[in-house]
Amino acid sequence: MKKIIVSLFLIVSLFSVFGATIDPFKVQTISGFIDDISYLYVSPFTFDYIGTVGYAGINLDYEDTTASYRNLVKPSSTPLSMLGVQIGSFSVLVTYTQSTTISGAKLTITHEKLIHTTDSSAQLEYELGVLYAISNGTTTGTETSAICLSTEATGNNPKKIEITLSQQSKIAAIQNAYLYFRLANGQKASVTGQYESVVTFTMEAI
Amino acid sequence: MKKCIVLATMLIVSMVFAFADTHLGRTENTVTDSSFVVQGYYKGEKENTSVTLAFKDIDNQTIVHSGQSTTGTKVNVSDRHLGSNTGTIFTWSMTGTTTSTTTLKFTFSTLQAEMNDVFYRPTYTLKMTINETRNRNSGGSTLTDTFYSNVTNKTQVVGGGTTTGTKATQSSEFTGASTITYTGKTSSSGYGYGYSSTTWYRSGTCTLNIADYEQTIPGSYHYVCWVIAEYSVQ
Repeated sequence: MKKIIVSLFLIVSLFSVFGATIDPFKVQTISGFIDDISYLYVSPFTFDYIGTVGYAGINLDYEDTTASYRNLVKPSSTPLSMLGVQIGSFSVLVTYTQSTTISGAKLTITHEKLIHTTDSSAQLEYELGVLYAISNGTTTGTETSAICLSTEATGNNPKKIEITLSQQSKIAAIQNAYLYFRLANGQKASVTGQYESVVTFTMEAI
Repeated sequence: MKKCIVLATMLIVSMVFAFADTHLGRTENTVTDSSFVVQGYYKGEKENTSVTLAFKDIDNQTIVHSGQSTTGTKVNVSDRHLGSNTGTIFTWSMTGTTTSTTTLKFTFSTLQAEMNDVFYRPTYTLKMTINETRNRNSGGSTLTDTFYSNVTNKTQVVGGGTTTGTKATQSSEFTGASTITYTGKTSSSGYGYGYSSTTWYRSGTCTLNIADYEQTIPGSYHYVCWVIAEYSVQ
């Protein structure tokens, strides 16, 4: 009986996280679960393609006036201070109602440099930013931002973003946090072609 | 209770299908990884192939020529120099940012001497020198100049070839009608910090030395030589 109560509670939480609405005139599909789970959903943002050339993703030439978001790609005069162009979003839900040994979860986000797909010596450092707010299932906390580089540089520049998900309600969620991209200080592409970088999310119990 | 567990299992499966990028599992003793690829591209700069070419006479005054366009148009230059048996006839300068192959060709007519409507064929040597400089912004990139000279009717070539420094000088000497062609490019490699320009600057002088200046007949001698300068960017 106890688990049924928990299950109903989590159903409410899920609707909050995913923005579902109840239509009283239609059959509803109810999603829910019992027991502790972790949930991570990452959604990359799709950028325009340059059809004739075949490149995909962000236009890295911040001097190209045809790119409306060029100022968001251009390195900030104050490094690690401004979020850039949006490149995706993610949502997280963790519960730890059943466990007596864990107190939440830690989400770690890291990334590689942008590497040219055919010339691996051409690499560009960039700032990866996130803007998020942690919810306990009923109320949402203050919006927070964090920015990191792919490598730890002088001045203790962070090379990863760590978000601790721990709430007294034993439910912690981040709904549609945004991911941002901005070229790092002093970076400018000069080798023509396609670049790629892997962003990794790691969530573990704490 | 058993029904409840079965229901929960089914619902979890349906969520996995609904969100393809979802990673789902128990948090305890598990690590959940997910990743995605950030894509970006650089389509390259639209190269500015314009080149500025200018000439000045021995008095450092700009020689007015018939016109100049961005590429492939002949530029006719004429000037006179009267003076001692040796000296600079004209200087030229060319600047640009293109990394494409640039060609600058001078065609010289035979020098003629004239006094009182009598023409002479003097003995002379024309010497062309060229200097190259270019901007090199700090860090990350390497610029290489390859601006060769190829001279017809040459009597001597000093220097020449590939230059990798920030400045290079070549000189060539010839007599009579001749052409001298400079062909090469400023190429760049590297990436990353600070690299933003490959502006180059090439300049040269044309010096005339008349060996039989000491004429037996006194008078005012007029030496005439036509020079056609052409350049192209390919």
